[in-house]
Amino acid sequence: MTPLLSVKDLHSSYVSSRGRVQAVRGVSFEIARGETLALVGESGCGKTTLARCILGLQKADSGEVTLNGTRLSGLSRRAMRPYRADMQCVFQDPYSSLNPRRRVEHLIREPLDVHGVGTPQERRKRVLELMERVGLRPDWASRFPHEFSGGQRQRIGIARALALNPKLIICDEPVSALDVSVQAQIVNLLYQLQRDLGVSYLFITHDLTLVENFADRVALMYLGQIVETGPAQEVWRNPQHAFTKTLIEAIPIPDPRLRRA
Amino acid sequence: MMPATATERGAPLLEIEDLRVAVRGRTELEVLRGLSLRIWPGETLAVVGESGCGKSITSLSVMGLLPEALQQIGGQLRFAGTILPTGDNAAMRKVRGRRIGMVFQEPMSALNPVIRIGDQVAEVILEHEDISRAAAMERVVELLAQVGLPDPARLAHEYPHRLSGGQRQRVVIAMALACRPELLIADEPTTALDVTVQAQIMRLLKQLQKDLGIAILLITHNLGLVAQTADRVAVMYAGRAVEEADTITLFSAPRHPYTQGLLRATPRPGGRREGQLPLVEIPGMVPSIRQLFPGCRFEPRCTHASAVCRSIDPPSHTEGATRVQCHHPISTLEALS
Amino acid sequence: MNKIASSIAPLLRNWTLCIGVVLLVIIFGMAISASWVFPHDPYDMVGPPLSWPGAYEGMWLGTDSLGRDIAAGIFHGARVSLLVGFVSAAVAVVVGAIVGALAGYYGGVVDTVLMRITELFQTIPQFMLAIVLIAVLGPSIETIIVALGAVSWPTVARLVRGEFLVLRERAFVLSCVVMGMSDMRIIFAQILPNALSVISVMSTILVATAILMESALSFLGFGDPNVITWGTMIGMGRDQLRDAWYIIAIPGGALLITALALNLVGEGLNDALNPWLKKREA
Repeated sequence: MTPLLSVKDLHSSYVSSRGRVQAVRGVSFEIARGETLALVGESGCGKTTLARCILGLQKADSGEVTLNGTRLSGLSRRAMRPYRADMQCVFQDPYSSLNPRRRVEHLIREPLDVHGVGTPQERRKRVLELMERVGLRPDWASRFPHEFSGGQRQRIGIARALALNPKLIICDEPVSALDVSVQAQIVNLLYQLQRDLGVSYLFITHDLTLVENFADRVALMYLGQIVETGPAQEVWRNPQHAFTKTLIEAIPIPDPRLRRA
Repeated sequence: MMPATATERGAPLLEIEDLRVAVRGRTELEVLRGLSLRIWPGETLAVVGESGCGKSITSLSVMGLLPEALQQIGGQLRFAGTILPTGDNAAMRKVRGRRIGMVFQEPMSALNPVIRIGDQVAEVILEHEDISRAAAMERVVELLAQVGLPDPARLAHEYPHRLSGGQRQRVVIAMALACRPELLIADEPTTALDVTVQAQIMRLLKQLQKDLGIAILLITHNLGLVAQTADRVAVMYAGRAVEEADTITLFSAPRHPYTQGLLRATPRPGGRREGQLPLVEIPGMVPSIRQLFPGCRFEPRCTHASAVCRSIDPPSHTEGATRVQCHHPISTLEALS
Repeated sequence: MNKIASSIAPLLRNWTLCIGVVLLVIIFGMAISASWVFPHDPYDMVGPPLSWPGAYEGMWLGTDSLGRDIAAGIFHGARVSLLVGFVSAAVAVVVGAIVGALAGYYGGVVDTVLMRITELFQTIPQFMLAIVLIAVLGPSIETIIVALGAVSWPTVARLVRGEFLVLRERAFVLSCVVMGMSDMRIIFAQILPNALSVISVMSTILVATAILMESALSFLGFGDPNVITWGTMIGMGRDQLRDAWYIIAIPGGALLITALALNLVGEGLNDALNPWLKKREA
């Protein structure tokens, strides 16, 4: 079976005040249907640039992104629009990822409006169904984002991403701005949605411990390259690359009996 | 190393007693609702909690730096036996920096971008000590070396933007330690840093603590850091320390349902639960300070709650090595299971 | 109903805004009621020339050297001032917002080209450019509006561009791109509303500047000769400055109060909108 997403030898650079920065240097990977691939790396490793290239928010210098059999690289912004429904995104900052001037109902309906899905009545019904699915009370539909906590806003973001029944959701640090107890709620929600809907995730994070608890595979990114890939637990138990070893070594384990000197 | 009992350890360095902080002009809206904490010389006390629990307000209270919108409405802060004049800015200036140092979360904004690093650190020394500028600069180079910065003499002449985030945080630590304080408050000192850098900074703090004998008040949301570095832990929820114990006890036998929930919700290596949801959630969310109710603040999210929890806010009591504020603390047996 | 009340309440506590709005309402009242209060042409001679305010029955602001009622001039002049001020500011805001939005959103070549054009307009002194445009187009209310709009849009364009540069990187904008929303819809329905608070503060200042510039043009004789404006009145009173200074002082005072009122509104809006927005986003 062909993979849902395949990225081949992707290169991307941008110009900063210090000259041209090679953010992504030849990255290749695949994600199968219904799979979660966690992309783990520290700040500046290129993981966000990589996500932006896949989403078509930034132009790659070279390489190929294929989603569901369609080659996306090289498509213009306009030509890419119909394929966007298949690939959605959940952003890190639940405070800036929702337009502060829109009501929840409108925010979740927007993707349906844009792609002209269904009649107005059907859209409204779909919005309420989505709200319920992500654990938001339907009577909150007419509230504004600022009336919600960070975790609830992230639920709104997830409902919005789900609206078009995407096959892939790119989650860019979706829980790193949230508290531990809320983080658990959101991770569990994403997990449950995957089981119910069969959606795939590219889960971008700096927290290896977190993804070890639920991702299928992990890809470690360091200085613009993927240095190690493997089943999540396997990578933790038996790290191969020096960076992976350093990273695991540095992670503070929440058990005082396993204290490192 | 098992921490000694209170009586063996002598007088605490910092004693926070029944501290109450509320919104200015609306004293029914309490941010800290009777917080009590003690730190002994040379130890690390970690204050953990989720956003909005009041942990940062605690550190600002100790420094006498409460924002204009808040006011202390009750309680006392004692430092080395004397009451801290938190309301008196001039008197607090002699304490800040000199006796209590502070490290903030954002190493980017804690340094002035247009002043050379050496001058910034020297400024702190000159503020508190009557020595020559040259002597101060000598101390600065020593300090920069002590916090593990390479080539400190050259670095002193650099501007902050030339340093990485981790190096900046080292400079901030050097500034906090410049006058050899007895207490260092570290408010989320590594939250803005990468995990590998975080490990280095925490190692540095522990080393400095050993060398200088300072007490550290570590404010964090990261239970991993707590487990790795703290001697004792206070778990805060909705403006109170709901549980306080030595680190080993707290992690192995949490007594408060919130502590237990927090520990279970924290992902840990090898903690994969096949066939189940990946993480254990605490349902619901932290109550807003605007929600006024007589009972325990954790009651709406608690699985152990009963009628008494809804009507009476539990007082603090001691259970073995733990101080806990709960009507139905988890028994040791239950906690171990 | 309650929601509206609670969103207006903080605006009422803002006294700069209140005073500004009250003054503006009075000036608008004068402009609207001019035809009923003074049904005759303000250029008509209706009393003895150069009578001081209050000296002649019915001429409570006095008359000028040709015996024209100054009060009638002030009322009718308010019309022109407000019309020119608001319409030219509207022209500037629309043009500036479109240019700034496109430049800020697309960046790159679009930005470079649009900003070079903007700079071209900005390097020529505004007032001189306005005079040249009117000299070419001929003096009339319409050309004055066009000229004033043409000289003030670059400020709006730069401001809106700055806002767009920041807002286009915000995650909510990215999420609209990912969703497949069209660029025009993102620019005008998603980003622009978030820049409106800054634009509205800016436009009150633009209105005040336009009113002052119109007066200056009229004073210099570049105004529309068919309508009376405060600037014309000041210009005509110039010769009597020594013995009948009220002829200049009264329209001058009207100008001052109008400009002040608009600035108060701008200042008040700034205070009212900014913390409010911050709170919403926090």
